[in-house]
Order: sequence, then C-alpha cells, then structure tokens
Amino acid sequence: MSIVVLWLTITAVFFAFASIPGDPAQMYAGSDTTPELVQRLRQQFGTDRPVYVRYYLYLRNLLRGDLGDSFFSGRPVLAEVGPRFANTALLALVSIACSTVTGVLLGVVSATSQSRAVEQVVSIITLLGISIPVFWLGLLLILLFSVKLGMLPAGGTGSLAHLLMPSLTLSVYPTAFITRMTRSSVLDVIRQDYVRTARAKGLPERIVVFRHALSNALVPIVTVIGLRFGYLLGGAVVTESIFGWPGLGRLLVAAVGNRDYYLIQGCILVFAASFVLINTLVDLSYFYLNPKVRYH
Amino acid sequence: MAGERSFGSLLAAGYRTLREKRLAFAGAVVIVAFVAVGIAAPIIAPHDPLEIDLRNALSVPSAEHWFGTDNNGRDILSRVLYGARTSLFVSLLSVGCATIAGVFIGAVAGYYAHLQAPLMRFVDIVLAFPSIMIALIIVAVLGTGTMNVIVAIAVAQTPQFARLVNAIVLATKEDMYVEAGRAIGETDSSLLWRYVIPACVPPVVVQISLLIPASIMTASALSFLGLGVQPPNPEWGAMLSLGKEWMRTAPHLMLFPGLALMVVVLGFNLLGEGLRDLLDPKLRYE
Repeated sequence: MSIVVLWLTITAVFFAFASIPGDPAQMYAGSDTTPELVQRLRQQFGTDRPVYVRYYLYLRNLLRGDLGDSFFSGRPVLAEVGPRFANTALLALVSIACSTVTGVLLGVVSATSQSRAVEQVVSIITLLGISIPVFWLGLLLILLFSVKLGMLPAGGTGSLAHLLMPSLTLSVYPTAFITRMTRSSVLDVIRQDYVRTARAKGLPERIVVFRHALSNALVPIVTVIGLRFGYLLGGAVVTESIFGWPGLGRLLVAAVGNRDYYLIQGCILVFAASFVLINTLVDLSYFYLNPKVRYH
Repeated sequence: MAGERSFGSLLAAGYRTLREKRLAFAGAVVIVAFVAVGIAAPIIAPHDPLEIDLRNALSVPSAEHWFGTDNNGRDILSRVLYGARTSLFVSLLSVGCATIAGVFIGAVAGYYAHLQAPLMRFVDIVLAFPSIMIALIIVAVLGTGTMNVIVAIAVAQTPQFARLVNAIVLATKEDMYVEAGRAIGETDSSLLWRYVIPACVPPVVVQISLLIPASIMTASALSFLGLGVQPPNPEWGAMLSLGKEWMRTAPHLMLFPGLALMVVVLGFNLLGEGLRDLLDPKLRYE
C-alpha cells in the first residue's frame, strides 16, 4: 500500500510537470542564446524525448537510486537532497519532542486540575498557538532575541543556539494540538471505573494519572502526534525560510522559484516517503499501545 | 440527526450560542469587521496603498500615518486594510471552489459504490500531504500570482471536504428516510440532492469556517515565500516578507500585517469552535 502511494505520488507529480507548457531548456538558456545551446540543454535534461519514454527512464533510474540532475546546479538531485533532509529531520525531531513533552503535560494538567483558572489559561494558550502565523512568530522571536537582546543568532546552523528559535517556532502549532487531544482523551478515561478503583486503592494521584489514565489515553494522542509530525515537515518549509535553516523545505522553495523540476520531484519524493514512513510507524505503535489491536 | 433540523431552528440555536458563548461572539465580531474592511477598503483607507512617497520612507507611526510607512513611503495602514480585501477575496474564492468540488466528489463516491474505492483512495493520498505542500507543488506547475494561489489552495482543500461529505453520505444513504424515498420511486440524483446532501450542510458549514482561516494562512505563507500574491499588491504575507528585510531599522513594518493576520485567524477559530459545539450535539452535552 505504501509503495502504491509513493508510486502514485511520483506519477502524478511527474505528469503535472511534464504537462507544463513551455520548454525548460529555452527558459534556462535565456532569450539571448543559440538554437544549438537550447538543443544541447534539451538533450541534457532529456526533454527532447516523448513523455512516456521520460517517465519510463525516470522510474528506471529511480529504482537504481538516481533521481536525475538538478537543472539549476547540474549536481545529482540525491546529493542536493540528502544533507538538506538530515537538517530538516533534526529540526523536526527536536520540535516534535518539545511539542510532545509540553503538549502532554499541559493537556494532563488542564484535564486533571480542579481549578477553572488553570483550565482557562491552557485553553487560551492553545487558541493562540493555533492562531498565530508561524512566520510572524518567527520574525517576532528574531526581533526580540537577536535584534533587541542579541542573545541568539538570527539564522544559520551549526550550534544548539541556532536550533533554538527555529524549533520553538515550529513546535508551537503541534503543541497546541497535542495539548487539546491529550486533554480530551484524558478527560474521557478519567471518569471510568478502573480509574476510580485505582484511586480507591489509595494509589497516589500521580500514579493514577500517569500510569492508569494516560496509558489508556495514548492511542488518540499518538495519532495526533504522528499527524502533526507530517505537518511539521510541511511547516518546515516556512520556518526554514525565515531562519535560513539549510533544510529540505528551503531547498524546495528555491527549486519552485527556479522551476527546477527534477529537484522539485526529488524533494517531494523524500517528503512523501517520510509521510508514508510516519503513518506506518503510527499504525505499528497501536500494536504496542493497545492490546485490543494485538489480539485481533 | 442534524440534517432533520430546520434552518430556522438552526439560526435560533446559533443566536443563542452566540449570546451564551462570548468568545464565539467575539470571533463573529472580528469576522464581520474583517469582511466590512475588505469590502470598504477603498473608502476607509486614508491613502492609496500603492502610492510611493520616498521623502516619507520608513517613517514611524504618526498622526498622518497611523501604522507608519514602508521603505517606499507607502502608508502601512492603507496597505493592511487593502490586505484584508486580498485575503477575503483569495480565501472566499478558494474555499468556495474547494467546497463545491469536494462535496461533489465526496457525494458521488459515497453514493455510487463502484466509485468509492478509486475516488477516495486518491483523496486519501492527497490528504496525506500538508496543504502548504500541495499548494507549493501547484504553484510550481502554474506559476505565481493571485489566481494561481486560489487554484492551489482550492485543490489542497478539496480532499478535506470530499472526505467529510463521503463519510456522511455513506452513513446517511442507509437511513430510513432515504429508503422511503427510494421506495416511492425517486431517482438516484433526486435522492442524492434532496435527501442526502442536505444532511451534509451543518458539518460542511463548520468545515468552511475552519478552512477559511487555514486558507488565509496558506495564502499568506505562499506570499511570504515570494510564491503567492506578487508585490506591489498589498498582501499581509508579502508585507511581512518585506518587513523581515527592514526588521533592524524599522520593525513597525512587520508588526501590523502580522497582527492583522493573527486577529482574523483567531476570530475564525473562535467562531468555528463555537459552531462546532453548536452543530455537534455530542460535544455540546459533554
């Protein structure tokens, strides 16, 4: 199934780009050029052949691990995409880890707190979290911590300090979602009989909440974390552009700007493969989290 | 069953909810103001949003220019007001197209069993991608510009409507009143349009109210990346992108467009959640 999804994605994207009117060779050669140069570029890009032949060659090369060459830089797409993907994965993993810890904690506190004030503060935080534009938040952070206070670098990569603002920016939106999902699923289980039994046995509240209630509330929470993780990779497109983070999202934006089709296809393929992988991992995690699934 | 409630009773319940839920009411006020500003921008804007006045470039907020001016001396307040017009136009058109296309696909796939698997499998694949990614791919194919952004967002959001409507149609088409309609000899298309589609209206309305802010946000993000509405057209995301360049000398450039964007999105989220509570009785009685 995952393979079919990837194949359909590649095919749809390939034909979408193949159907674009206009000749990439002509575009890259510019207006001040010779027909020979355009012809040579066409051969280099492979656009002088019919679409179905290109499609066949693309798939065949893909299976050999060759994603073609970037029109713009001339380097193999795989060499361009690889290191960028590592950077994006680092950013996304740090962000989702922060979101998960903060979101689950806030959600549990909000669901179990007896105080209406705590509940309202948490709900205001989550509402602001889903409403604030990522790129504006990023700019505000740069303005505060880099321009005004001079504490953190405004962009680039290389140290923990560089990672701080981009991952904070990227984690706000998923944190809000995870908080909400945790709150509602903990509220669902906390009224059930086995939780009352656990309390009646005299277990400390901490153990009742985290071991008894939370472990049964985990399935929807993990689903939402998995979903948000995919969206985090998408959100990385904007965040990376703000902070000059050399990741896959920024590469994709640049490739779209340059109409560098093989590079765009390569980026999308890697993103798509990540989404499929994450979905599979989420499905597998049900197996461990929910014994009911295991016995079916 | 939500579909059996009359439109009048829904309106009355909506009014009650707005009165009870002050946050949803605040959201409604923000949206009304946003729409009013979007429509009336040419009347209420104090300056021409495109008028360049280099002698007054980068001036801070003052009595003449409430929000200050940008690097070309253009009045930021006027550009923010016109930006509401751009966002309103882009979001209404894109969500409108997505609603029509999504309801059609979802209903047809749900009603005709042999179309269910191929159509919805495709929808699921598109849904696996974040909408900004779909929008980027489409912009890569079509090129930048306002109309292409509208198409990109419409395509990115269509599966969300299709999935929702499909689920409802699948559940509704076995209901007694549809069976009854079939028994008295109604045709398929009449059953679909007169019995099944009306059941989809309340959830689709909620979905619209939640996807309009998403559409505003995606359009701004694309413009921020330089791939959406092109300068010098006033658009909040594009203004923020300009503000980023002048952040060190003139931070007011990035303050107001971002604030406007956040307030509008917040308004839609507040109302959307109020609507969801209203139209989903299960949540309401919790």
